[in-house]
Amino acid sequence: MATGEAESLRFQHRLFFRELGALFPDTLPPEAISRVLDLSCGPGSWLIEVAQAYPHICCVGVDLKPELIRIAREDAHLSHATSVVFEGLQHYEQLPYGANSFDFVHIQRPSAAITPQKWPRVLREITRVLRPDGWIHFLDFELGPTSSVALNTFMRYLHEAHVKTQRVFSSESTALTSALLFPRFLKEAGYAEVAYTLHAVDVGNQSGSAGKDYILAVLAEDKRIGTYLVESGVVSQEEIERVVMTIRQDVVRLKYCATGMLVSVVGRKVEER
Amino acid sequence: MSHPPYVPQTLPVTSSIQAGRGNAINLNALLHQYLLQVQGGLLYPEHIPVNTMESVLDVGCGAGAWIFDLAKRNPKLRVYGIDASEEALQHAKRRRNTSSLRQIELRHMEFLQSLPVPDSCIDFIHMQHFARHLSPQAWPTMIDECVRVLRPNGWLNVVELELCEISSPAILTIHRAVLQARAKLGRTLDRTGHTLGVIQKLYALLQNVGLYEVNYDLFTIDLGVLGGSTAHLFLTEIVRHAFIVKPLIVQQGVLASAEFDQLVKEADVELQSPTLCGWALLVSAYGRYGGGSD
Repeated sequence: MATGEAESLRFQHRLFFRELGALFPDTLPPEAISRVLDLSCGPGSWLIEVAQAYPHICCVGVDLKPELIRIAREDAHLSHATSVVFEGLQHYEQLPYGANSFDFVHIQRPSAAITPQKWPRVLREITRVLRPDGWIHFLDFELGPTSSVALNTFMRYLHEAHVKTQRVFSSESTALTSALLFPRFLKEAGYAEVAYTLHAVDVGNQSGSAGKDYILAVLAEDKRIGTYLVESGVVSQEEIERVVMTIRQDVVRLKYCATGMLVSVVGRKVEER
Repeated sequence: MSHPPYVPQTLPVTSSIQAGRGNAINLNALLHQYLLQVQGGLLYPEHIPVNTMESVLDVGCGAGAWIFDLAKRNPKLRVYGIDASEEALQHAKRRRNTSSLRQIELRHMEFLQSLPVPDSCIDFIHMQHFARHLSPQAWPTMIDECVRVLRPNGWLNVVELELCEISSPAILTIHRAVLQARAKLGRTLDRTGHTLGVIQKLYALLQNVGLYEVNYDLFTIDLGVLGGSTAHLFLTEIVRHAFIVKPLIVQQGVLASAEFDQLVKEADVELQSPTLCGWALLVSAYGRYGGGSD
């Protein structure tokens, strides 16, 4: 199960960084960074690349899923990335690191990793381990619109389920992530130089198979997502099976068109007075 | 039908909307400049060889912001602009007559009627913010008309944009109310009323009518604080447009009148938020008509 998840996270990582073209935000020179924390690192794709490209950086990756941490360690070993450490955690509300331990905290898909209820405490904890003048970086992806009615329906079910299980901040927006609220959250938490960048991503078949592969990789985990949707009562088992089957057919069509937005948000921690 | 939502006589007297108020034509010129900037200064996709062409038609040209730019850059090109709005066309005619751009010809067209242009005489048809006005039923007719006036191997370029996300709940609700009202009347491609449903369908639409070399370019429109004053204007324009279709929204039972007014007030406040974040996507889809020659 987790292997399918690792695979879909790897696809996601490739898709994101093909678009961004750099591992760190433009405004931050990697030379000035010496300790990095990757929260919810998954199979460690981003962190391993950082370790390979910048051997001077000491890299720490944490995730709640032991299976993903196991895969990350294996991958790091195979990639001869020696400056990277992966640790499995029980939760993100208490990080096993001292105050001011990191220069840079990276969180890919924060909406998936941190639910609204946990958000204030997790952010407080991240802020504690981040040194003054250190940077926080959120990278989130909002899929849509797409030409597949089935895929749009699937996303709507997912949103309904997220609203029911309180996994989204806002019920007005049909967004599956909270990407566009992060600037506000960071400012409210006292961060300075809060900024965002937007990158439109073509995930349709016009621009190659990356987008399609990504969707198929996400759907490869459909049993888990399907169970979640059925258990939260937004859709029946038969309906979700029908929708997933239609998506599989839709995304391989030549005329399949899909877009998404990659949102990157940064903020600098200011010294407490 | 032209793209400008014209300024109604009774606007809500709220600060930013009042501040953004002005001549609708000037506003559209500003928005044109903004979208041009979003597309990296290109008036049309790079693949389209306008420098080898004789005639270009802009369907839904409005006051002509696009055709004047095109004519200035291509002095030998014959440029036709057609629109359903007499007011917008009058403005364009005045502008043409005071300029030296005699290559521009402006014609009136009834919405969804045949294009006032002879068969097979146009090399390139441009349609910006026009597709959104077409109901699913109107599409085939429109495309047939385009194919009729295009020369063999001529180009069709359809440009549309869609507001995707905005961190202001009031603006989002207002925008969705417009879409829902239109969806109830069967006037959008997306029957759920969540989106206009146009940008993601352009690619398939052009392929379905047998165009070849179909492709699209995708652009980000930053609607947050970092998008600057034009982003602000863009959002104000969405609220302004909603205000025009308010009777429809109320009539279709999407929002009550008082509810709508309250949302406009809230939108005005939310527009000023220093952490406003959001985006729209612009898709420029294009393809060529074979004309039976291949």
